[in-house]
Amino acid sequence: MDTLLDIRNLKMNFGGLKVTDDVSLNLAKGSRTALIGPNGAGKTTLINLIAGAYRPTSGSISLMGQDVTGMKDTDRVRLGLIRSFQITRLFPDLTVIDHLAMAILQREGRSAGMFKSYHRMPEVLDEAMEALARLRLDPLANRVVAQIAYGQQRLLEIAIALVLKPKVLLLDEPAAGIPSSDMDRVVAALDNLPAELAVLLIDHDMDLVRRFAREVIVLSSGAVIFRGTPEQLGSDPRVRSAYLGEDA
Amino acid sequence: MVLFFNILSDAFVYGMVLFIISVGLSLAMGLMKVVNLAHGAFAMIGGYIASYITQDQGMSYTLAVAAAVVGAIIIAVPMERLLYRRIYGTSELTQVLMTIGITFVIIGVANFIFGPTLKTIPLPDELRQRVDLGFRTMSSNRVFIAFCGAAVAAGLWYVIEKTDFGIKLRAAVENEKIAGSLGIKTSVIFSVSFALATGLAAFGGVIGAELLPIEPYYALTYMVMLLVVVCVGGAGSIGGALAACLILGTVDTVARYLLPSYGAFFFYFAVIIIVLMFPNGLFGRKLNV
Amino acid sequence: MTALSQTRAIPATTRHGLRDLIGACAILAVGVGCFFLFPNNLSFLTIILSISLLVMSLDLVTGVSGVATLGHAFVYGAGAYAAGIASVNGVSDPLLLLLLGSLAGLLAGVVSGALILKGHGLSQLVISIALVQLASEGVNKASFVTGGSDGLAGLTIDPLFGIFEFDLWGRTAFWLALAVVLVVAVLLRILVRSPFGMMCRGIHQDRVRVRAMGASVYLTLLKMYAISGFVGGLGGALQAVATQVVGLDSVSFTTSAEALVMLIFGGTGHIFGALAGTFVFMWFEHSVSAASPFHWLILVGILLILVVLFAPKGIYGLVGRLFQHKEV
Repeated sequence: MDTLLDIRNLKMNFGGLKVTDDVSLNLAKGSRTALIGPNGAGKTTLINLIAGAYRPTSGSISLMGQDVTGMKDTDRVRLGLIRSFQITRLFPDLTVIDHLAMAILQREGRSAGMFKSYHRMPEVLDEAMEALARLRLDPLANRVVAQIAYGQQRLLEIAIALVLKPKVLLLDEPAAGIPSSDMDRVVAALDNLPAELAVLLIDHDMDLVRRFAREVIVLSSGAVIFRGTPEQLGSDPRVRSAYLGEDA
Repeated sequence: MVLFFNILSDAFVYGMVLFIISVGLSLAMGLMKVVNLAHGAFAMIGGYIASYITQDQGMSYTLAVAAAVVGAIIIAVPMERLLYRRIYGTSELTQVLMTIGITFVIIGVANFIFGPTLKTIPLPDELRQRVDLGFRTMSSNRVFIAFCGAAVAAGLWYVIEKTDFGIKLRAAVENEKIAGSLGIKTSVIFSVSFALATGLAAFGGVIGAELLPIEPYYALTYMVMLLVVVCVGGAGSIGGALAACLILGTVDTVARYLLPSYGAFFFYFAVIIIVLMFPNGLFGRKLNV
Repeated sequence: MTALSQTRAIPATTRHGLRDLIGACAILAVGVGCFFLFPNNLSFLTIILSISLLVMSLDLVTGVSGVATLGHAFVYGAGAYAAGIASVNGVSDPLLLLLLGSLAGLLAGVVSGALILKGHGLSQLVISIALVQLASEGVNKASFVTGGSDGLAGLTIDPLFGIFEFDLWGRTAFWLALAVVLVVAVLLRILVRSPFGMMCRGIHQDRVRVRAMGASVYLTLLKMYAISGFVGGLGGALQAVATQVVGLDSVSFTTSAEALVMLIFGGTGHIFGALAGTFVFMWFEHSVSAASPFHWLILVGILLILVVLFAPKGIYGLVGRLFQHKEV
């Protein structure tokens, strides 16, 4: 089978609170899955569990057939499980191109080099500039991140994730904070993701979700309450009650 | 057996001195999240004032204690407003540098005014008697210190658990922003807590002078010890500070009794082990009694 | 306008190379100038150069990588005592002694890094302090090899390359120290810009992002600690070779705290800042504290407070800002 990410009966308790309640899901090669749900439903917690930032209370996560439940987050990255962050996590004093060079060098296991600066590595520079150009960030290459707009920082987050050559990509609200004038860049970036990549996308923008996802999973109070196509979503009573607080 | 009780009672008194001085630091670190290396300097100010009042002016010990506490607070509160407030929420490095700077200035100024000599604070007759504890005799001063330590612990417990101020203080420790949005004036809470912390430091500095002598570099000599105590106890925890002081007081005293020449070596070794085992302190982060 | 187009035209590497060359020339010029201006103070200048290696070494872990430590004299002392003990036991080649000291510093760096990096915030500071105090006590008690509180004195050192004697005036020692500092400063500039150095700067700014790229924060910083230990140990060994004396103060809390203060005065994250900070601090200390140690403390304290409040990037930052204004 082409299952890349397989999550079974994942549970996570904070104190007495069930933040993740028996979640199972799998992502096959080429899947485009959106994870939605009201605020506090546990979407980011789930991403953190998958990425390895938290340890689940019980359940299992396997990546390309390998059990990674107890594996360190950094080792998961090396296997191709890449995430982006809901709130941008960048290096304020480094330049835009520094970020991409660092990611490329790390991906290739060359980040321990102590002599040659990446500025003298044409292949790294070219790849970094190309990755920036795809998101039209190339004019900002030598700007320090603290000096670029928030929307541009969000795009840089996506560029970093992509340059790490993911097999499974977890995008935590990539469009949050991006002004509508820049939305087409995000949409284009998502449309142009490599076809065989498995993507799990969290977002509140339903237009984006409908356009992007072939499968939608709705999370409420840590549990999966709906799984289906975007078209089935609107008519589902459980989803309506979760979002609108109506009685089902 | 006698030795055992001797060590234990000395350790207890020593731990109590540490507790009185450092509990304020622990409170401040838990509340304002500021690494205050100058805390010992406020104890030193107290000691210098008390020595001046008793030695140079010949006034009473009680008055000296009161003047030390009030004097330290009068010096500390403007500092909190003008200097400390600027470093809340900054990196540890910034806080370390600012508070080392404050320590240097206090040491320099104190010795400039009062002269760089060992300061003695003569005890009143009541504190110079011997008290029979059954298994040994002890100076009444040490009994007094132990009593003060217990009183400070109980008093703080009462203030934090039972008073209105305590409720606000706990709320501010828990979450400063939420407390602010509930209409609690966190800046006032900060100032009052800082005053309380320095007042206790000065009080501890004066009554503990027999065990921690007031000397020109007092603030630097005990800087490390105070940090260690807070770190081991867990910033913001009164129970933690008490436990840490008693444990470290015992480790230090035992080491000095049994391995007199390797005391400090043994002590710092123990500190590293304890901190590695409990990186957030024995009693975590939150303000609990 | 012209500045902007120039920035585009000249590749970053050339600009960096040029800046390093200017920096190296500046160090050399100041060094040579001092040699002729203060011929009677050469041994003091040599100590400044040795300590500047400790401050640069501290900059690697604190300024570049963001680890706050108050115990970095551990690596300096390790280097000084390794060189001193080796010298007492018959090793007298100055360069071999420097190498031994550096390796001891590297080892001390790995040990302190392995422990300090386990902590966070306050616990990190406390571990670093406890470690240097422990080392200091250990050296004090092991007097059969270290000389205890008397230290080691009267080390015999062979002439450098078999030719240049370590004379009474300290000329040879001074030139050796200047050469070592120059080489180390340039190498460290290269290190900080390398992929590894960039990773450490990244860790300083956001560890979570670094982990999400798949890099191990602990191992990266441990490597940096090893390098930093090597440089600090080299500084200690240099002082031992140059002064032929090793004392307990080389491995003390006070030296650790002073090194941190010098680094902050100079400016963190820039090797040249570390150099400037050491030079200015020690020169002032030398002249003021001779008059009264307490005046010196007041002065340093006030300066520290002012730097934290108004010039968080230190001397280097101030000078840098001056030049930036001129460019615009």
